[in-house]
Amino acid sequence: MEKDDNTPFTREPWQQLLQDRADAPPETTNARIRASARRALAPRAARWCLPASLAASFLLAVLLVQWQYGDGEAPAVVTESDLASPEAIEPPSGIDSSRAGSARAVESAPARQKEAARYRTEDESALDEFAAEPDAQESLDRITVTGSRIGGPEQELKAASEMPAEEASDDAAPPAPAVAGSPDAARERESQAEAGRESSLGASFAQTAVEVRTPEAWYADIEKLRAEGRVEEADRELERLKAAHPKWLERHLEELKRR
Amino acid sequence: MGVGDADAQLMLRYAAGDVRAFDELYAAHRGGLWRFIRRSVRDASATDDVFQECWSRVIANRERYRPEARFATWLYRIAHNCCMDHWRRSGRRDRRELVDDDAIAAAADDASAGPVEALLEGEASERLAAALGRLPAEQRAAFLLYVEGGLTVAEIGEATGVNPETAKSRLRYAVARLKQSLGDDAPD
Repeated sequence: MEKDDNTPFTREPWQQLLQDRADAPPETTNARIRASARRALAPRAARWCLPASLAASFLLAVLLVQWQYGDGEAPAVVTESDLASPEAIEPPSGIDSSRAGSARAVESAPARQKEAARYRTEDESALDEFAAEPDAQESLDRITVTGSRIGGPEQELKAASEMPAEEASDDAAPPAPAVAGSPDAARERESQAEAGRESSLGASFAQTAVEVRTPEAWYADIEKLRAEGRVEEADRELERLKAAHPKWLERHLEELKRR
Repeated sequence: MGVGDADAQLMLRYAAGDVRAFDELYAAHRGGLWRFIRRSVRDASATDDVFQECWSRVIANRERYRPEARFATWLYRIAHNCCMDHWRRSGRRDRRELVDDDAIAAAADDASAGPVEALLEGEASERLAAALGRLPAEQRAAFLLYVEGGLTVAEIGEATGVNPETAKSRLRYAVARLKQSLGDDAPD
């Protein structure tokens, strides 16, 4: 019977006897086990993916934060309520103050636009009233030329965005006074306009005013400067007039000749 | 044997993610394993549970499998442990399922499994099945591991956790008992 120590007898005859009664696992069991074997392999990726994606997201977030705030101190958190006070947007000491001033001017732009609209309405109604009065035409021309709009909110708004910090932070030019309907008021306005025009003839001759003057008025101002003996200033203004209206001066001189 | 074992290679391939390797492995061992478990637990309804539990452990332990021994040895060791767990759970171990080898030898001489009884059981295969059921669990396990699992004596010892001499003794007693039950129908 014994063949050797490890195989003491032949298996086959016993296997044949056993196989007569032997059965096999049902198909449902086979299917269940095979499915289980497949499932066991599938979740491996899921188990690996979730922690890996979480780690990657975290790393990305950390890198973004480091990239944004890495080479300087972290900026203070500015809330909406902080924006109400100008101190909230005061720049850190390292930032150029002139840039900060521009930022302030831009920040207040909506308020200034509103203000400008209000002044425009007031001015226009006043001018309409004034135009209805006798011998107001001449004054009206002058007011239109050098009037309140020159230094008005629109110009101020435009200039504010270009101005350096010190100028931009200063208050805007005072609004033009409301024009009353009486002749006295009109005369007063005229004299104010005259005074304003004269004051603008000096060193404080505003750049913005120059661009809105008519050539005639400008030329008259130059003549006046010349009459006052401020020849250099007059020459400078004349050059500027030539630059602003290249053909006008020639035409004007020809016209004077014809006369 | 060992690393060169084809089944072991299939198991390694399955552990590496090849599902078809498992299908091959399952097809090769399902019949023998099913019969081993069915005759070990002798309970038709429990057989399916134990069989599935056994393969679940194979699947769960696929990454820990090392081809140090034949795959069949590893598989039947798991199956044997599953059967032991089943007996432990069910709490209905046979009175004669004794671990003491002297007691096993005494059980083998039990007169209740004599030739008269064998004659009454009809066909040789039925008588063999009946005789197997009457064997002590350790002897039955040794016999089934040898015949159905194709394990050697040393592998039976490894699978059941005993030394080869004990395994050989159990096997010898089992065959003697079965031959006695089968009478002239017993294989040589």
